[in-house]
Amino acid sequence: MSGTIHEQLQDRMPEVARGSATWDAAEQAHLEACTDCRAEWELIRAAVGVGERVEREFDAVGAARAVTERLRQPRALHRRPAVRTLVVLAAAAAIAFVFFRPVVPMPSTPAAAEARLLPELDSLNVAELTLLADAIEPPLAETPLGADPALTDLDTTQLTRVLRSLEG
Amino acid sequence: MPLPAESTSPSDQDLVAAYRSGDERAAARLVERHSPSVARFLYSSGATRDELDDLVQETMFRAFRRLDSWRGDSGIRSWLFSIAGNLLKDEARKRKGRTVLSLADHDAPSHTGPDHELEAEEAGERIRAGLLTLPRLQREVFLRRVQLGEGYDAIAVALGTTTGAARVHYHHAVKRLKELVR
Repeated sequence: MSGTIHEQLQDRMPEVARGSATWDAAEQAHLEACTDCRAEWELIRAAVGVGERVEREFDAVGAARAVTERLRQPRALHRRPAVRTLVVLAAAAAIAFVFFRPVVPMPSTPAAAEARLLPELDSLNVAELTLLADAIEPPLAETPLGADPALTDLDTTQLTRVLRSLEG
Repeated sequence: MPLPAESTSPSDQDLVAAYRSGDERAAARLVERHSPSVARFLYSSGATRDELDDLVQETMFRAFRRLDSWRGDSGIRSWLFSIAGNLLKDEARKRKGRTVLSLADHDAPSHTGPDHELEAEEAGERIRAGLLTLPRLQREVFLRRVQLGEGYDAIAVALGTTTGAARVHYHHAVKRLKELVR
């Protein structure tokens, strides 16, 4: 019988220590007589109180606010604050790389140069292009000196004066 | 599903259903209801006071993300303890090589009450120190049995073990703690 009540008592200790049950007279008597049960009872009674103060003082409202705020965020930002900081930094670095990477000049091939010409020319037909080409002044280096009407009109004396003024 | 008025106390199942249907207040009420005991469980399992806010929030957040895996037949608090226990295990793994379960002086609650409270708190801290030396399963079975009041069957389901094994873990934990706090 003693073995039975011994086990029964130990099994019920958590409930009694938490206040959800009480000892009956036989259990109480056994508890007073049994050193082993009394030692266990003291242990369980103290264990029930471990962290009681932490529980009492915990800021549940603050936790609720923080959790619901986190639940509201998009899934990508659901990580814990420390991990989230790392993710945000990595994302910022990626964005910075894309937008601020050094500009490498494109290789300058004739085809590439042509591709960069005025795209609106593509819509013109051959006759229009020829007309346009004729209207464009040739570069200075390609213009023969003698073709400049301003100089050909000068006589020898006037040309000499122009040359002297250029030479200083 | 609409949340019952503030004056009534909706069940956890009601709150979960309300949250699933988009009621954010239901999530807040669940956190307010259960986070203090989750904090206590984490503290008893070795978390420091400084870590508690973060760990509790993470536990609750993970719970909401995995709400579909909660079987309504087990209490939500028991389920939350399982998530908290796994979280603590993950943290321990991350910090391998370091002392995970600190019992620094600042972890112990500062005493402001009468002498019997001081004695109780000191005894509690000795037990907490002893708990930290136990294997994880023994510690969790002990805390669930003593603080949550769970029966061996429920503990076995929550920890994925058998009822008999849960009982053995509990008795090993008690035996070891009795030696440690003697």
